Amino acid sequence: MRQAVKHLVLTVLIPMFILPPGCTAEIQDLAIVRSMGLDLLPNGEIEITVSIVNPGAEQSGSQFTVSPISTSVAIMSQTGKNTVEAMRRLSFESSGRLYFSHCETLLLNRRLIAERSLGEILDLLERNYDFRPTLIPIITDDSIARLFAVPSPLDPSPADRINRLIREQHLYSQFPRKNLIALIRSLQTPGQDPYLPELCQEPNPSAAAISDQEAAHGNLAIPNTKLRLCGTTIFSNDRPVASLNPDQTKALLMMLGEAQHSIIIQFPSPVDGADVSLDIFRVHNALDVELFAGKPSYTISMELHARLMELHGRLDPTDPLQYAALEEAGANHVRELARQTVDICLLHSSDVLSFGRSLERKNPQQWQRLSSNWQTILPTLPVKIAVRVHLVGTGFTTSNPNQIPYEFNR
Amino acid sequence: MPDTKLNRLLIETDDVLNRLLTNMHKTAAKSAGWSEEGFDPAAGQLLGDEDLQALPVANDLEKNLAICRAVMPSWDLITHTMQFGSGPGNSAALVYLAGMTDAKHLEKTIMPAIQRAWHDTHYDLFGSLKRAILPTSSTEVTDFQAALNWLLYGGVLLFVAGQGSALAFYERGWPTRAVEDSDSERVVRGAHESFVEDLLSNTALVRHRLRSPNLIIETIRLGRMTQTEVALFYVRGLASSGLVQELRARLQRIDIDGVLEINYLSENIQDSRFSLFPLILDTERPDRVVAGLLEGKVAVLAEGSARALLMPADIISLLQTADDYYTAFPVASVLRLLRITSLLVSLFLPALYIAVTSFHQEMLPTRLLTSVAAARIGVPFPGLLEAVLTELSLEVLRKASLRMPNKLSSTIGIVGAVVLGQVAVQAGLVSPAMLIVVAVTAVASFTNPSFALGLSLRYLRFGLMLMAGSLGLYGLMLGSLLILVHLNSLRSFGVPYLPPLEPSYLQTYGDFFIRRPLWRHSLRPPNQMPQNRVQQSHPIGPQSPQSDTEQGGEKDETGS
Repeated sequence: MRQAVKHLVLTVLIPMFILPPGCTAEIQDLAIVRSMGLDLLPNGEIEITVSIVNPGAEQSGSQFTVSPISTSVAIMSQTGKNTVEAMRRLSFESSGRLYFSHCETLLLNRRLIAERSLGEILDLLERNYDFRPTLIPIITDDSIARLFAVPSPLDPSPADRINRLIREQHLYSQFPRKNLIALIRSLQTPGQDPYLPELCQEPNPSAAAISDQEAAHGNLAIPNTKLRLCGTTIFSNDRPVASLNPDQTKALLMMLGEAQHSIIIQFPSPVDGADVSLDIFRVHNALDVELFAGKPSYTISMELHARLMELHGRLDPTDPLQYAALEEAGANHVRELARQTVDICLLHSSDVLSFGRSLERKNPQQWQRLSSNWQTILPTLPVKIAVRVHLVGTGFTTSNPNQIPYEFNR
Repeated sequence: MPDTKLNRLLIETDDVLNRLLTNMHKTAAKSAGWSEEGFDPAAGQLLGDEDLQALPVANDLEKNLAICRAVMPSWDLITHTMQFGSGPGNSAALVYLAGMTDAKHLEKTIMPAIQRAWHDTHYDLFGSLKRAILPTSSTEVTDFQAALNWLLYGGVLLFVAGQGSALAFYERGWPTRAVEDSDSERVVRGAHESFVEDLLSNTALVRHRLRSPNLIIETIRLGRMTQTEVALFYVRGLASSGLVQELRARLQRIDIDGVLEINYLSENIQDSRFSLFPLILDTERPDRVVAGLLEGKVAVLAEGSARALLMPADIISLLQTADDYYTAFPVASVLRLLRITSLLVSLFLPALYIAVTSFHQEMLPTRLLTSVAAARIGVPFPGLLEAVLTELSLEVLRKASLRMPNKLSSTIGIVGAVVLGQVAVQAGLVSPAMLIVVAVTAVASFTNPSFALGLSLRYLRFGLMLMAGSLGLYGLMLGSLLILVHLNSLRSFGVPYLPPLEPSYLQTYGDFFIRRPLWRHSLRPPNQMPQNRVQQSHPIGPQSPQSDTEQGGEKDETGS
């Protein structure tokens, strides 16, 4: 018994009382940061803006307010010579301890990353254990405080709206979703450049159509602006060099094999030029590199499995020839988008498609020889794009209502 | 003849009555300040078995009765003298304890039988009674130690004048409770009988379920004063002889004044005396005892206790219920998994809540985090103190409801619900989330089939809460490891308390996470050390009626 008591004291009580942990904090004393943004001021200081949840207000159901800023959220900003100083100053203003573990998105102003390198900005986030590695960086040209203040009637806070936007858009492969770890990895990997989604705000067409009086009469929450993911920023090394529009983003994701679930593409019908929509639900991609006289040549192959989503015009999907023509038109459309994307990337010496990385895998010696001069070689790289579309279904019907009348119309 | 104080006095005076009255009680009374002539049993000395053992039954009826009255000067000692004729030798006396004996049966059946025997056989009353008339369990006793033992167990002593021995027979009549449903081990299906406080009734409850000559029941009397009958049950050929011998030895080592409940035994015979875990399984259900005996375990029952001890025990057997084997095995397996989950919840949930809300808020989903944070706004106590206070309040309520009369227990429930559930939250002393955690923990703990294990887990829960409140998840893991190490170090009669829960063991004998089909129970668990390991020589699985028909058809053809 005496021995047991001795063991108990040694193993339990000593660590409990001699090594008291300093990381304890009551849950209600935390200032829970849902989203964070970094901006560069004209005087060269860094401005940090955070969107903090107010749990008490959030529980009272104030998320359905039409006010510009929901009372369940507090937006706070502070400046400093560097991010740490700005954060420290911000913590003096906050009533609770700034808690970043539930911060899902990091908004980075394009000015900031154009001036300072991305690696320099991410260094703090990488070192601080408070930040989750799943944090998603987003590029924006707008004021971050203004983005955090965009009303979001269906979400608890604008920050939640941004988080949900990223999550849901990713499911439909509209925009890339690269978290902190993946971003840092791509920055550190030779022969590979990062890319990040872009966020912007735009006028809400519903607000323009409905007057304030009508909205108030119908008790409708119609914000004047709304948030939108509007493209992808591509980097060369750690500097932003160009933007891709949403269609080019789709092509980028298909070429990278990061397209998931569903990609909708629209193109003219091969029969009469009317609109046709395909839902691409599976992508097999490959990037092959071959060396000709010491110079690499690339082939991007994509095999797409798609369903017919919407068909206008008089194309007959039951006709094998027209069916094949439809597949061919879809492939041409994707090939065209891919070509535009590749050209933009190569033009700006951005290796987001990992050409260098594939060369390193295929021929390390050649990569060693070319890597020092890779930025200049990139714009001159020959890249072939091969696309095949397999249309595996036409939906619930095989017929075209524009061509063959329905049974009850006969 | 042993040199005891009674024998020394016997040699000196040769007068039993005088010896007892004068030298034992009177001397003691004198030394205690009572009068010289007074008689004060309260001032007497303890009378041991060795004192009575050498005191023979005398030929003189009056002397025997006087000895009885001297040895047991109690109000409930009844001496009934019967005179059959005019001579001094034609008398007999019945001695019994009122309330311990069925007096009505004695008057209606036994006394007329004695009178008839006297009329039929004047010359040999004692022999006649011994041979035929009295109950078959009658025994001739020649010393007062044996005689008083019969008396104290509800027996009746018949002294006949001129006979240097007495006839003792059972006429038990002490009040006993009827066999009822078990309170702590209720089942939906299966037998609803539970043990009562009467050992003989309990023996019958086991015996009629296990009608085998191999069921051996041994008894031993324990408790210097209470002389409680303790019975060992085991199946010859199944239970390990070493286990039985060890149990006998441990029981014989017990030297206490009284055994009022079977816990007096289990505390004295278990391997580790300071462990919170019950190292011996106790049950109220006879069917569970029989199931244990068939696995090679040994059971112990005691007079006056409505519980049986089963040993050796392991943590697995404590988590099994009789219901498991009265339900189809897939359903029973799901219920068992649910029970194990509930047990883990009841042990870890409050500690996990404290660790997560005080140290590891990043582990909570954001919406849950904001909900919990909103619920805790205004609560003045830190999470640990809040949890401990709420748990303690619940414990107090639980204890109070156990002790309160049934009519008032609902009042306690209302007080608990209103005070804990509403007022405390409205006053901002406790958060609703904490109440939910405590309530879920309490409900989960009720699924625990073993009351003793439930008590252990309740106190371990407090320990884990303190560790989680001090060190977060690290403390919780440390506490869990300590519990695991402790469990691993425990033995129940030499058998590991925590059996090897590794795949090959579970595949062969495993009846832990899932309840194996009864047709797969081919071997007895090795950790029970059974002599015969084979439970089913040719275990058969369920067969389709078609295969039976085919077999039958073949037989018919062969027969034709």
